Amino acid sequence: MMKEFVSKSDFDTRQIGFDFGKTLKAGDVVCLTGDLGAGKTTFTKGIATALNVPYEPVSPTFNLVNTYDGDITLHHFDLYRLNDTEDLYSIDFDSYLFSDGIVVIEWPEISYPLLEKYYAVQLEYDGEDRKICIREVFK
Amino acid sequence: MKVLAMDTTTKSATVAVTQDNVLLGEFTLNSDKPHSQKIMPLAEDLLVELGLQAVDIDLFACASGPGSFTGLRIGTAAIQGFSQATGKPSVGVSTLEAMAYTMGEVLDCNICPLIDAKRDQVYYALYKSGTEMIAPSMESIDTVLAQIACLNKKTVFIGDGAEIFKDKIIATSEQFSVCPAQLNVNNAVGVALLAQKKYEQKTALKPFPEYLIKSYADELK
Repeated sequence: MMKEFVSKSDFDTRQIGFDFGKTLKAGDVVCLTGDLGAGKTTFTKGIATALNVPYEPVSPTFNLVNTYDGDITLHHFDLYRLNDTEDLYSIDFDSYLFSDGIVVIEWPEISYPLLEKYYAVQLEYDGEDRKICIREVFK
Repeated sequence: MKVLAMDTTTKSATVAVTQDNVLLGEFTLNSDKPHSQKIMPLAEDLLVELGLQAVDIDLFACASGPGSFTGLRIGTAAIQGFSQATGKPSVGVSTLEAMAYTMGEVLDCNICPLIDAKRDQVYYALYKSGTEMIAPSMESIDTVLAQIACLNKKTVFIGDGAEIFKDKIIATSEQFSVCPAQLNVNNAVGVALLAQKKYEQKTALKPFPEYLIKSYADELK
């Protein structure tokens, strides 16, 4: 499965995140890739709204993970500050991965060896529009 | 001697108080709510129900792992906190050894505690009459069962790992059996009794986390 969308605004990105969020189930993992400013956090805000999270998610760069209660619990990670897969031990990544929540990961590269199945969401900004590509990855 | 013990290394959050090796009370919650929210209210409620205060306890003990990383940090931190506030000693015991100890030391068979470590891996060890036959380690369930089957001895499996891999265990050898479901949820009384024994023998360890990790790199080879 692969879907492509074009976003012309923050609002569009959020709406695409919302529509995608409506399809997610407990245990799903979503990996977001794209440069700074591509809309990863905005996309996550759309997912959070779809899950009826009563807060506006903020970037988890500093906290590493923010957890929000919604219809399904949302764990929003940013692994930018971690060095390698071993670092995921110290934050007990497995306990989130095997929980009944939805895990959304920004800067997910170091976690790929641990994931068996996930949605890869790629956001690209060409200076005008944003291209959002969603595909399912199985190992 | 009154002992307050807790185990937060698996899904179950459990607190027990024993006096001279007799159980006074035990609260266990095997729910999905995080340990950080469960364990202190359980400890407080148990002390209240028993008409005790933290200062009445002579020894604080926790299961120090292996198990959930966050869980064992919560348990060791809570016990260290009690100890510091009351000035009473604190000890940590191996989760695996405490699980085996729950079964008693009289059974004439090997006891293999299994803790689920995800991705078909388990934390395990092997005990016979309280003696450690295989030291705590982390391996794939298939490797563990093959290794223990080689010993060709009657073996009882206990713990959340035993529950998850029940069918596989029983299919591996006629010598293998799995504890009934109620014994496969960790409870703190085993931790309390083992802690008192070790404390009196002066073989107890400080309550520090025993992560027992195998690196992801090794695990994924």
